[in-house]
Amino acid sequence: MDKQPRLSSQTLKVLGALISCASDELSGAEIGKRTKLASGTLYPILFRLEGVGWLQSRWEVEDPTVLGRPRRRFYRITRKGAKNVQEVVRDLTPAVGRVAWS
Amino acid sequence: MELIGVIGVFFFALFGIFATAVSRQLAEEFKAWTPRFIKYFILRAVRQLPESQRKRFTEEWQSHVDEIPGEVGKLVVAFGFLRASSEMSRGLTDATPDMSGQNLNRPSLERFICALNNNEFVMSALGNSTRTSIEHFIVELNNNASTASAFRSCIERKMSELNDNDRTSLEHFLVKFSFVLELADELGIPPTASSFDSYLNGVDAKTLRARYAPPARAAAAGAMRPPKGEPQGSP
Repeated sequence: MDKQPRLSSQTLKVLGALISCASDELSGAEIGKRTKLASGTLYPILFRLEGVGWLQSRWEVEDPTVLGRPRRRFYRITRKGAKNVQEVVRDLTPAVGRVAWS
Repeated sequence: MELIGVIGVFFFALFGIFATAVSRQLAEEFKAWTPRFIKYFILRAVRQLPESQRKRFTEEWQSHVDEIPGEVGKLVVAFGFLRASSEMSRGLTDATPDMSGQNLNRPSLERFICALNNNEFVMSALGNSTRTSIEHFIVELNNNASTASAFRSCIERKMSELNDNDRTSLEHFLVKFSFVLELADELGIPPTASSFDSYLNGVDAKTLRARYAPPARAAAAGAMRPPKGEPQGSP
């Protein structure tokens, strides 16, 4: 059985931010800034999406001692995630220009 | 009249100087204490997560806070991590639920059913349709799970039907339930409906231990227990 995350409006905002970003990946703080979601809401969503394989994350490659600050964790949408989002968006799009009744 | 006006202006100016000095001092204090509060919030938050996740989120959340401009903003974000970790820790336990039903007899099964039915955590986590299916599940357990193996197969079937979020809620509940059974066994008290209800509805293990094993009773139990190596029936 393929695991499906709960697709709340906040989850869609997070996915939207990741899909529309030019750099392909964003840190948690950056996603929070774009979606205007509080940290208490954002991280459970990121964690859940990562758990089901829609997102993947990686540490910043630079050494924290060189950076002089803790490393950031970057999130990016996976191919599976992108495919599922497209399906959701297609389902949510009203049938304008399509044959609604046949 | 003029003199009163001059005195008033003088005191007003004096108060202004004093207020400025105090507020500047308070701002400096606040700025100095903010990193400690942030560290404390992050530490408290990651403690709610399983051991395997703590290192990652300590660093990740600290770096998140560092990206936020302004001290108040940083504090608000750090405080939010407490909520995040509590949400994330649902079903994210290192412990595995005891689904074997080994310790289960009919009275404890009835308590399980009753507790599952009344458990706000599980019920509020489930959507309407799933809640109805859980209610059916409770009826099914009540009718069919008269033995440990029947209980196990009922639970396993239910787990396979639920989606990820609901499954973790139920697993979390099962971990708690098996803990109460173990605790009751450890303390030598019958797992009463109230001990189940209080634990399952958020009372932590330490409080529960203190409530159900008063020191006098625990000491008496210790005194009655034979010393190690001595056979129990010895005169």
